[in-house]
Amino acid sequence: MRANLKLSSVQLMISFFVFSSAVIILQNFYAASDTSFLMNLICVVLGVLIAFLFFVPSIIIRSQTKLDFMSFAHLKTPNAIIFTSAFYAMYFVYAAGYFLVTYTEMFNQKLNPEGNIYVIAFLLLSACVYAVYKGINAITRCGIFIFAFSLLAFTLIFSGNIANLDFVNYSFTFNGSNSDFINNLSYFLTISVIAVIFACVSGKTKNFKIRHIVITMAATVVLFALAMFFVFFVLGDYGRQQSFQFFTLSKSAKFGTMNGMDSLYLSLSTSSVFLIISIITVCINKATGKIKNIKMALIFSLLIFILFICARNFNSVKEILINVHILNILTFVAAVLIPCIYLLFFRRRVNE
Amino acid sequence: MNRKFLCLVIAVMSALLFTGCSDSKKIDKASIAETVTVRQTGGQTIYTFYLLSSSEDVKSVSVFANSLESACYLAKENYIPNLSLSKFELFLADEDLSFDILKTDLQFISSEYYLSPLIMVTLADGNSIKYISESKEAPKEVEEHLMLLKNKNNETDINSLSVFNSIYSKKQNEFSMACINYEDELSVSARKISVKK
Amino acid sequence: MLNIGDKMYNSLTENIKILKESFSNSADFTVRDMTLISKSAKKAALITIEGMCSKEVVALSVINPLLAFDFDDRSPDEIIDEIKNSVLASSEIVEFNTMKEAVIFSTSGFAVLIVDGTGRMLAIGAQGFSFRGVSEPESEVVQRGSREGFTEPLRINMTLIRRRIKSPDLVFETVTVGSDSNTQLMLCYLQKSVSPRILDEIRKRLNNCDLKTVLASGYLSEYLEDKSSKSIFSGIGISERPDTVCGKLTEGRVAILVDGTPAAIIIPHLFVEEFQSVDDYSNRPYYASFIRILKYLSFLAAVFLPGIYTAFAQFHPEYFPTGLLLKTAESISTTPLPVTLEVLLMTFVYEIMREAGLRIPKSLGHAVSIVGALVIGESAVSAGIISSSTLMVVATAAICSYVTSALYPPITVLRFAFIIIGGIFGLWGIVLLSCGVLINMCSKTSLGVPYMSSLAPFSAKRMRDVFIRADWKSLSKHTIRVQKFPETEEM
Repeated sequence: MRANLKLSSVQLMISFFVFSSAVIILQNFYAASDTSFLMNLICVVLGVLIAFLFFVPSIIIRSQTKLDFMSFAHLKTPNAIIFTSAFYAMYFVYAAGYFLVTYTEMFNQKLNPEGNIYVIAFLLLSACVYAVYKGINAITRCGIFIFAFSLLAFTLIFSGNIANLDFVNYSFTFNGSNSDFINNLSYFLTISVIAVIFACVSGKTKNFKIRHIVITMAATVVLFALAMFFVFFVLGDYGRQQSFQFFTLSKSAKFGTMNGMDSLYLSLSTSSVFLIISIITVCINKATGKIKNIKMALIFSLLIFILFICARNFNSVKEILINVHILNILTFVAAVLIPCIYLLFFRRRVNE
Repeated sequence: MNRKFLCLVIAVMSALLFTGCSDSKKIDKASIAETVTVRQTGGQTIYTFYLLSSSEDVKSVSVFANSLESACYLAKENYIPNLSLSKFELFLADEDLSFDILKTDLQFISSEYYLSPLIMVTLADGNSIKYISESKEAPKEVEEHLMLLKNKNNETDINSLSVFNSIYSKKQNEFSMACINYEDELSVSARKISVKK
Repeated sequence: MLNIGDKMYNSLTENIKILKESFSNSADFTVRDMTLISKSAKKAALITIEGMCSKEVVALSVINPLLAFDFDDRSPDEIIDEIKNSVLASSEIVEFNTMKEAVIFSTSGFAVLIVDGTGRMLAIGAQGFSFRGVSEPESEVVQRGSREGFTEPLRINMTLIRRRIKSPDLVFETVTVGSDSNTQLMLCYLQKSVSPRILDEIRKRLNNCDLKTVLASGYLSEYLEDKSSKSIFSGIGISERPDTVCGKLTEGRVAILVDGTPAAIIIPHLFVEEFQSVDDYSNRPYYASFIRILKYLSFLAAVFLPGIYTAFAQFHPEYFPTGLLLKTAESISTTPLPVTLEVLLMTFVYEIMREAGLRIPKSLGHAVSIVGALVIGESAVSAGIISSSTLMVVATAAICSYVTSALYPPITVLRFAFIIIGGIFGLWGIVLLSCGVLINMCSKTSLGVPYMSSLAPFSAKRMRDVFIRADWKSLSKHTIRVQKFPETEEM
């Protein structure tokens, strides 16, 4: 497949939605807080709104130059691009490490505690390298299938839990501390990583319209809200005993004699994380200027794997890697600060 | 082409070597417990695990333990090393059992990832527990009765998820739980349980 | 040594000698010498290949008129003109003047006429080789469609297509491949529907075919596939049905007929087409849609069922329903082999039986069925070598794979892969491998058209003929040209 083949903006947005679904199914903060559904709903809406705002600089650059931010940066600062490229490459390595560690934590705690987690991570990264080799067009097309599967999985899990909704013990109250609010908002803000991905690959899209992002964000809000609703009103205090509450939610789904949809959860989480890490690795290649270079993908995947090993063996590394505040700050820098600096510097010569 | 093929072979062989199938559960070797009962006799708590089997007789293993968690541990250590609770569907607690033990066991069920939140939990009299130990069809009958009770009386909690949430509910001090009785045949009723906060 | 473009000599004796030498004095190379009625008693010769020409046609339509005509004092070139325009009753006469053409025409069933004194020759259509008649295609059986299938001769296949598309838009373009076999191909397309880019690319790829012999359409597959997107799925479609080919031509595709092969190559070819058949368009939409969905489900079952069964038995027994769990555990516990090995072995044995069934003479076919059913099925289970649940799963997957028989090769490979992965890594491994296979399929192109088109890139408009078969009112609103699919590459 040719590297310069344009992909549909809708296809990219579908992949972004799958990205968002991975964020909600891997959420693990609920157990630590004593927050209510309403508070979390506000966090969801605010988080997604802020994430939408992170898109603005890239949208401005794209609308004026038809280029994504990364290509724009390569064009405007060919000599100083090494610093920008290095930052974005490291950012994406960090983001990939975040999702990989979160996923392997979930795998270890919920799916197979006895499994060799290093082999799991290695194979996952190998599959992602193969996907990068095939290109972003193939990845986003695969995203369409994962999206269809995720719709099916969410429909089954949510509808299978309708009978378990408990409005006797739980209601629409508002409670939670300020720190809980900040923490939960930070968590939902992690979907803003897609703004940085957009900054890297939006130049490859055709027929882009702002409403695509708006619809994707709105769908994300709906999904998050539904997920939170079911987690709160089905699991309630039971959910607080466990991590990764969406897994427990999938286990409590029931259709007649068929109990438990955790196989769907396993499939959905694995395929979503595969998509996320593949897209992120493509962005690393884009940041370094070598779009379909397999060697770059291999090197950075190895780096992600090394980071993962460090996180597994050193708690301090793990704390840094899965810290949502650090991720959000870095995302802000990558999605807003640096593009704004470029826009300010080159605002008169944007169209040159 | 040869190099690529060689790389592929090495990769596959490495995967096989590094992983193996040592963590597989193996359907033919697993001892799957579907029903667990707990009763108190002579000051001691007895947990009985009823295993899935194709034979006519009921296969069960009983252990003395203070909680479900320690009972699982002891059963695995001493009697059934391949014990699997992944198909655990029904938990019967003696109606005279201390509420604290029930609470602890529900806490254990809620914290283990492999246990379903929809495990049916019910109180039972001695005759019912004896009936479970004698008849292979008994657990299915109990589950049917619980479903019927739930359909009649929606506020009765029949699974570990709803019972747990009712125990820890901040909104109510008592909840309704199912209780199975056996006199010539099974019957089920709802029983109010008060919860100390 | 005969070179391309070597012109014929003026001497009849010399020409015949060279041609005889190029055929290495082959026994089927026949020369009919004759003296034409003329003032100079001009010599001529008719060259045929034994068995390729109809002796009756040659005698009545060629030799008789030649010997009866008085050429008076015409020069050799004038004799050639006279023969071409006025003497012969044959419907097809081609003039040429190179050695290579002489060889190609004579081996294609033409009678080659050489006249002494000129290097110009005539190829006279007199084909009379024996061939298999038009019969029902064996691999694409339908309930309500035509029973005609392609045969080996190129001209008959062209006729079968021409009869169905009576339009001057339909073009047949001759291409020759194979430096030794000089196999004739026919590119068929509709002038107004086809993409010039796709056509040019096909011509280029056929020109790059450096094979010495091309004996079947399969030889050309590798040359026609996109080199940048290798996959176990094929971007080349094969069909034995002229009605199917005609339908594809209207969508802007190109069909390639190969002389000697009773099948046509259709490119570009997409994944969703493997689930479409002529019967879908003859049946009512609701039934056709049901059959389509059944095909997709069968494909998924054929690929995934053994792997998922292995994964569940090895790693996730809790996913089995309780009743099935008991029966499966009981049957597996009595067999000596691990589940993975058992499933692999059974699948392999089934493949051996299937291959044996294909190659075995028809008279012994019953014996294979009996051996397969009784020995492998009944006895192996009774002896406790394999479990009945494993046998059920493998048999079900095998039957499902016949629903989409064109996809049988990739289904087989994937099935083995999923069994191995399911046995080693469980459901997780199956999911990851599925993602890898999906990426491979989504990256594949067929002459620049994405292989997974209609699904990915998704097109709601084109979905009217994917999982469901919309009614003819919707389908006939406009024809979807294959080159208009989104994300189609420019070469």
